Amino acid sequence: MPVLPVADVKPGTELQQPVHSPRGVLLAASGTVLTQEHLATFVAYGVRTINVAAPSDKVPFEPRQLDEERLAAVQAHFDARFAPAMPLSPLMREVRRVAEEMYIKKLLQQEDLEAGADR
Amino acid sequence: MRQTTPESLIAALDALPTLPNLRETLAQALSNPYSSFGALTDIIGLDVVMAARLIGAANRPQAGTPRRNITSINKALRILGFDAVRALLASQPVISEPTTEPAGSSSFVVRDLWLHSVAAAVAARAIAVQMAYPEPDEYYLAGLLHDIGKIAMLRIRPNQFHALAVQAAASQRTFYQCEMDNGQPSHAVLGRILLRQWSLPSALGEVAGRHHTPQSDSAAPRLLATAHIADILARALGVGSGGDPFVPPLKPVASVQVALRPSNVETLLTEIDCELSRVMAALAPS
Repeated sequence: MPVLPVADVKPGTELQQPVHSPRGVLLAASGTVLTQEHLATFVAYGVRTINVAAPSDKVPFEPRQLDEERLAAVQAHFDARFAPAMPLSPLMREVRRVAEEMYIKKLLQQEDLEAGADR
Repeated sequence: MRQTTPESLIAALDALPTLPNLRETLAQALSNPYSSFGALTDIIGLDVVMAARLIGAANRPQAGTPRRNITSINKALRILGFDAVRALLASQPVISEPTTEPAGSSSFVVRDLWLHSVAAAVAARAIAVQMAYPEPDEYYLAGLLHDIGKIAMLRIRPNQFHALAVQAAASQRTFYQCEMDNGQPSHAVLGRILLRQWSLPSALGEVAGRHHTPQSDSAAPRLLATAHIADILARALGVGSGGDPFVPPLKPVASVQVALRPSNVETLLTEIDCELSRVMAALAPS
């Protein structure tokens, strides 16, 4: 399930995991359908990310993908970045996977922005 | 002829420079009568050198008083007050732009070292919060200061620094691995000596000195292990540069000490990325 910045979450989204403040206060239980008030409370308590379920209309979350050639270039870039850390432990494999996903997401967002500016 | 030691090199340093836009932001905040301790903490928390000097000033031994152990910027500010920060700022040189020095010798940009340091600071605090460690601000400071030895090296041996950056890029090894091959005092050694000479608590000096080689016999093993992992996470995210674009190996002793699980990683990196998006605008060139 996606971990999203609070700012990116829309009211009506269901929580996959409970949300706690940085000091450990429970702010919302797992399964809560979020309202604007919930989201404002999370921001006020300094919560930056939450773990949410797929959208309530059950449409699967399918991010736009890189084409194969550019995906290979990204993977080569990360192969080089992580080369001194090899072999990777399970923890480091997960660090690489998440960092690579975040990199691709930003790349696509940047392209979308640039495409929007050109239109 | 007297031999030059790392201690004598560091002792001869008059000051370390900082970024011009951070200095300007801090000067503006200090001249605003409505500025809060929190606002100043946030600004100084982006500046490796100012943070180190402030913490050093707060911990400087004074006759007749017990030695302090101040490891948070906010606490140091409350002890010293705004006038002390003004005095520090007045004596603080700035790095002249453009921030590549010496020109053309490597692609390394000094500003990237600040970005990397802030990214490691944010990562260290995020780990501390996720693992429910007390005093997460101490972890932030440890991350912020872990590479201060590189700033010292840039000041006293810029050619050595840039040669190492070039060597690291060409050989696909980390800056630290190249330092070990060359046998000269590493940034870790310089950082530890610098923080000791500036009167910072020994735990922070140990982080600067051993963040590549954490050991369980450390005086502050959890702080050291967290800084080691924070450096790795900052590099994995590719934020700034510590002199090379690579991720160093994770030392098992740090992994055992902090006990992060793979299932923690996605939340942790997303938190770090969100916080970095918020603070990085202040480090952009003016």
